[in-house]
Amino acid sequence: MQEPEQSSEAATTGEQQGHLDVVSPPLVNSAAIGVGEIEPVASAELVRPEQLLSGMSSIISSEVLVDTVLRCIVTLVSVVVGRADGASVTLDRGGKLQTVASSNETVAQMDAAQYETGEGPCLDAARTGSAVHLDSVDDERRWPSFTSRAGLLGIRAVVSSPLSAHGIPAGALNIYSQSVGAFEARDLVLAQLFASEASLILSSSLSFASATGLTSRVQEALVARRVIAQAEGVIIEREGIAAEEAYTVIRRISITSGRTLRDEADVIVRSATTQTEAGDGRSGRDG
Amino acid sequence: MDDPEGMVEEPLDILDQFRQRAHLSHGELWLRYFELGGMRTDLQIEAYICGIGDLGDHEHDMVAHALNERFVELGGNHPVPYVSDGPPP
Repeated sequence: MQEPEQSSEAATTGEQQGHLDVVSPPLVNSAAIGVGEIEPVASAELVRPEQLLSGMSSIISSEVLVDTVLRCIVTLVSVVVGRADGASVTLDRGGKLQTVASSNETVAQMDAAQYETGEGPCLDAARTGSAVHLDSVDDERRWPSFTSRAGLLGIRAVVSSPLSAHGIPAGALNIYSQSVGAFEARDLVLAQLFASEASLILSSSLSFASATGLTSRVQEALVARRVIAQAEGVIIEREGIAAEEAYTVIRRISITSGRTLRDEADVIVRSATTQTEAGDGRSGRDG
Repeated sequence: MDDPEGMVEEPLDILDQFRQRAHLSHGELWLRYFELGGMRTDLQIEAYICGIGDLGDHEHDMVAHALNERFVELGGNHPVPYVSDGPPP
């Protein structure tokens, strides 16, 4: 666990004017990750965190880039937000929560403990989509196994901010501190800002869509659209009406039957197929 | 949505109020609308349900139905009115 004001990054900047001074060099190496918009940061007097965030979400995101940028966010968060001693990003990948970026081993262990026990602020933020702030872990009673592990690892305060991709809950940005009351109102706003940017990056990532099962949702939606369009065709042919009217007919039938529109469309298509096959069978016998 | 003369006007963001009551994010609502055959982008839908722009009656009814199917999942009926069904009697 690093002490924010004593970190090696702080030593390299040679400035000790509060925790905002210790912006670390990993973001400086923008060329290596293809982030042209992000300029090297020499001092927090020149660049505010909000400015640093600007433009990050507009990066064209490949799978490697997303993880790299999340690691940058974690590094940045752990030095600019309150008296943070570490930060991590938890993502839902294939229905399973994983830590995809962490600033040190302690926060990775804090995350892992929550995945194992199924309880803790990170899981709550990821599930509910609402931020969780523990000013003092000592006073927390909701998650006994979490507080016990936090005690062992010296964690006293936590902020977990929810992440989303395409509006769907996707994980959490977790910030841990060894100090009670480490996060003030300004830090909570900063945490939310970082989480929003991380969410935009996730939303622009095709690999993330694939990893979270969003692709399968879209594929299901495409299948549903095809079935509904086929049912429209059946109704158009049967009733001799326009496509939009046919759609309204299917909708009304579905409301009456209590089926979803997609299921009703499926029934209509199957029924038409069965009738066609029966007709073919008869004509076959007749012929 | 047509508003025949003499009727009390609905708030512009009435669909967004339904969306919030249905506990759907904008993204989730759009995906459901898309699944039902909707042709507009997520941004167009988000703007429309907040009272900006026009979709046409057919697309409006798809949004309404996406919301209503969600209300059915939650144990409700079909509280969002359809334009193509006309005003309630």
